[in-house]
Amino acid sequence: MARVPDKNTLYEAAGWWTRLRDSSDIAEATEHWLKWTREDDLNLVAFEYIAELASWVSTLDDDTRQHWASEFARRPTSWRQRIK
Amino acid sequence: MLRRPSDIGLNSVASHAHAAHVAELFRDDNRALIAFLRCRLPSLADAQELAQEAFLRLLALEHPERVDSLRAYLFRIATNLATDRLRTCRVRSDVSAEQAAEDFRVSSVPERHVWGVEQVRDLRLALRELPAKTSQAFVMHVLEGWDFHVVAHAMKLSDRMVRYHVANALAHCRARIDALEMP
Repeated sequence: MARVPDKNTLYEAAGWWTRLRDSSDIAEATEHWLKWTREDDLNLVAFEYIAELASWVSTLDDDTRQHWASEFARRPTSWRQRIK
Repeated sequence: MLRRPSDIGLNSVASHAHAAHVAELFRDDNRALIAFLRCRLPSLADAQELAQEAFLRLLALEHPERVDSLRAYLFRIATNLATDRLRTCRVRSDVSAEQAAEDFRVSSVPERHVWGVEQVRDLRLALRELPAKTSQAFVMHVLEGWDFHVVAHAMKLSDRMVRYHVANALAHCRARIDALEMP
């Protein structure tokens, strides 16, 4: 039976996911991330799990997007204008 | 300038050595490279395509001996390709939900999911279990696509805290969805 990542590994993987998306020094971050993926085969599996989930969420349909935005990301209606 | 036969021979040996090195990198790092690209691109197909393109560009290098680390260079090429791809197409208009669902069906990840209505429901339940700031940061960054610094500004948090909340939400949701789907 294939091993699956535990919760701690998923948290680590998610931390790497955010770091790789927003790093001022992507080369250094990538090097450290590669080392981490080689420490245990499940680390890369966990990272793939997280990346898959994020990819899927980013492509949810507009109805779901609007519902969730209003349910979870409450903010003033003029928010978008203010931050731009 | 004409090259001597011995130069041609040396070049040929060097070229073969480079090709062998690239082949080794492909064997060892292709999966990681695709995963790396996937955290920047929404589509597995895009990530696979750009990973292949990055390897081809690495293979076509004229002077590989001038590069300190081919692996680091490969990931730099891939980063630039992903940046260019995102510049030329808006993510949401480029990838449909159907494409994303298809990605999951062809994924090599051992525990595959067919994402659908039930998973949307499970994810929503998982988000409700989280602190408000955590689910808000997740929705704004992952679902709505705002950069970390924009979310940070809107939520009056540091970028670092936004990343922390987003990471927590991702890990929690993934774990909860997997747990809910266990027989």
